[in-house]
Amino acid sequence: MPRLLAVLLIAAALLLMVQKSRPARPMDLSDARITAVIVLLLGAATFALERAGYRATVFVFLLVVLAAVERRPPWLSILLSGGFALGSFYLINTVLRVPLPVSRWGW
Amino acid sequence: MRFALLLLAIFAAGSTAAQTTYPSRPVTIVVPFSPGTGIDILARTLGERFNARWGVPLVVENKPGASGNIGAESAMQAAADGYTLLMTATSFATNVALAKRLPYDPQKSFAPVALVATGTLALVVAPTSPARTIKEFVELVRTKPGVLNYASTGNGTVQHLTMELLKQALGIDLVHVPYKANAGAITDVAGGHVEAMITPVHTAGPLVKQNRLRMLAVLSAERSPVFPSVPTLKEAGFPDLEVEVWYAMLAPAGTPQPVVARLNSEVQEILDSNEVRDALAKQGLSPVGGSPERLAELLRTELARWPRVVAKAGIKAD
Amino acid sequence: MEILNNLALGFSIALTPQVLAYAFIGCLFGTLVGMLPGVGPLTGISLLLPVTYGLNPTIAIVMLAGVYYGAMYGGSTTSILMRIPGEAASVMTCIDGYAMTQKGRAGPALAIAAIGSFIAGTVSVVGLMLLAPPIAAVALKFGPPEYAALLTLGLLVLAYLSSGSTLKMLLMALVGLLVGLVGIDQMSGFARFTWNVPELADGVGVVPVAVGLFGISEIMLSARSAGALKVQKPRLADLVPSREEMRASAAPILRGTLIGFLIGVVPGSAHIISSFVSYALEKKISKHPERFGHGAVEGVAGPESANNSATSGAFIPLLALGIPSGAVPAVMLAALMIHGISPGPQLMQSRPDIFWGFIASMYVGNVVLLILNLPMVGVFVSLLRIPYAYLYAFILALCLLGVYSTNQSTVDVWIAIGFGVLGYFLRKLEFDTAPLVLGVILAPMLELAIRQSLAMSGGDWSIFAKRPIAGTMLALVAALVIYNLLSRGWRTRVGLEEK
Repeated sequence: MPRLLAVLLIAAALLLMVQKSRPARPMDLSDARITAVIVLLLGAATFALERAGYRATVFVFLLVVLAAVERRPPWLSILLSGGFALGSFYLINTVLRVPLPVSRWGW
Repeated sequence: MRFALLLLAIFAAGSTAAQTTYPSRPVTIVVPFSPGTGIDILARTLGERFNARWGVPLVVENKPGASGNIGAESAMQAAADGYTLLMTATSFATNVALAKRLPYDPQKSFAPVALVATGTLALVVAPTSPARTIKEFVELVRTKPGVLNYASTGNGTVQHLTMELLKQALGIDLVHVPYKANAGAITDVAGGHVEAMITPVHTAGPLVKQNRLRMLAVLSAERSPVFPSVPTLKEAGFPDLEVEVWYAMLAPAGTPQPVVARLNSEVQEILDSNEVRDALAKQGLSPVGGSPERLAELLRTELARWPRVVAKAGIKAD
Repeated sequence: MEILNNLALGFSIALTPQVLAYAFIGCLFGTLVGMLPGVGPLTGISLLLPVTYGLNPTIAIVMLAGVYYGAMYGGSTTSILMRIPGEAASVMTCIDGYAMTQKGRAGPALAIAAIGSFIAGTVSVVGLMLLAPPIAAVALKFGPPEYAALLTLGLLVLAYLSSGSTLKMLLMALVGLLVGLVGIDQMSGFARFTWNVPELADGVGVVPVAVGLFGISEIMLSARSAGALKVQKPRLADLVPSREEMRASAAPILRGTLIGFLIGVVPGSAHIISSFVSYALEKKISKHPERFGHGAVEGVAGPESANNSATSGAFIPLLALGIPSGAVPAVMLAALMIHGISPGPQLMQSRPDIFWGFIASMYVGNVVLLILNLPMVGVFVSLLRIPYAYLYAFILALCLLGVYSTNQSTVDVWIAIGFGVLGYFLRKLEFDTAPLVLGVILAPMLELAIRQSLAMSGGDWSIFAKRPIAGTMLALVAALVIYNLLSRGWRTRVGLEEK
């Protein structure tokens, strides 16, 4: 069954490439840089999530996005990142009792 | 430099403190199935009671996937300090029979804590089926080999393997129609689309009471108290096949003996309470308890039994 | 007349302060849980279940049902505000809901979603009340072949989802179908496309795909202009739906209710596709289909209503027959049984207080949720005042959090990120991503249903034609396809439509 689908998929892709009825606009990749940064950060966060624990990872992630990427004032970034990391952890892990990763050192 | 030493001292003090007064922080119990399943509800029931008795939360961590292997692997890798436990069921043994490689060693990776509960399986048929007793059923199937169907909760599940075991023991041939979940399977048997299935007694209970399903036999040593009119296989004159769905608590291998003993006695006391017995009974489960050795013994038997069934039936799973 | 008496009995039970309080807690809890992407009603109900052991059965059931409904309502909030689907069923709301938010109509979108859900919930509970036993009996007749036929109808829906070229839509659908087939094959036990990653054994989850494809990709596309985006300053008047929006939503709400109810009654997980079907229907019969995807309020009203009434519909097999039609009703069944209630026809006779109390509490639950949600619309919309530059960081963290906590698995998060990147490129290339998600949902169900049917018939394909319900549905599908081909074919030949 998957083979059938794969064949259909390739056929459709080929068809699409063949019939270029309009001149293709070059893809607008002006935001590629920030997208790549976001992907990188998300990837790092995912990697770190179970090793460093939820609170640390989310705190650092938010901090980097707010302070480094978006250049928001540092004190505000720290406050917001910390608040969200701790607050969401409390809400989800403690109140709702849905476990969130905690690193080996307890945080 | 001094700062580092200070940190080290605090760390050491902290970890020894944790050892001496167990439990001093939240305990996690890994449930390798999604929330809402029987095993999950059982774990949460235990969790509530632990919480009440210890003052420390017992948190259920659902890690479903690969018939329980993912959760098992995760629990195995956790520190063996009694703060991570694993809840498991019959599939623990059947997985061994099916998988080519397991990320853990079923005998060595875990220390048995307690056998929590067991459930009885029954053979049910569609209301449209002409068979009214297990004898009639066997005869019916023998006259139509390979024509009639049975449902199960999926390839390699306990229900599937038990039916295969039954087929081998009774010399009958039914075609396997797998489903993704119990709900779909039992609905289709009730609707007459599939002829029969093996299912836990309590799942079939409501439907049998409405005459939408017919229970032909129970696969236990004694009759079920909920359905006293249904014979056991042995009483009906067939080979004595006992298959039980069991639920147990394990800990990573190397968990200190005193911790295991403490957990075991807690489980025992929880299971002795009326409220829990009541709740379990309503789900069709019988509380068991017993020592860790009892669980170890069960594991040994189960781990020996299922590979034989699988090999004979030629079932494969990757 | 007897029904009114019974209802009175039910309401007398449901409207006691204690029951109301627990209903409120359940709804609140459910809404919170629903807003978190990934964590769904299943987790919510399982969390509260042990807490209910000491409570009397009516209260326990009322609270748990409240969680279920609340989760449905909560899921639409994140869909509309942030384009993050709370669960699979909310995906369609993301499309036009978020578009409305971008046009400054977030308040009306939320309000219409809430109102539509309320109406749908109420009407479907009435349906539940009046029609439960006969519908349940019909529902039982749905075996694998009928299920397969229904899902094929769902596939057809794909054709109406796309706003662009048919070929692109087909491509998306095929990708979706292929992704949906990843995992251990149910029937043979062979692992497909899993590359020895154990987490993929049960398939690529819909949640990571949907959150990634819709939520994360959206952020990637908007982040660049974050600094330049005008901050939304909604006025009070903007919170309320305009008269024409209300008028436009009326019929879709009713249609969505009907569709959701019918599909929800079918045992199994088919109720997920009710919102997709509703969307497709609204688009097809709309006089201005090109508005869909850009903030057509019908695209919110219909699917949201369908969702809610499917929820009630899913309870019918449970209450009338004691058969759970999915994972959530299954937990409810366990809950009922723990409290000593055996659902089924005798429930109505033996414990009318429970049965009618439950039904009454469903009404009450809907009202409670409406009261909870409508005022919150203002609060939620004011969240949008936060400059996007701050907001998107938190949204990303929320996605991370939600996807992870579904299965405690980082693999899921990687999948979401991957699909986020994919979504980014797809939208640049002007592909419509909804068919992909539908494909992921449909593929495993459809394939299983087909193969089950064949196992039942011993390999005989004519089983689909021989069974009356399946046969009729398939004939309908065939007729629709032919009709479509004929009319489409005409237009492409004349060159009016891009092929």
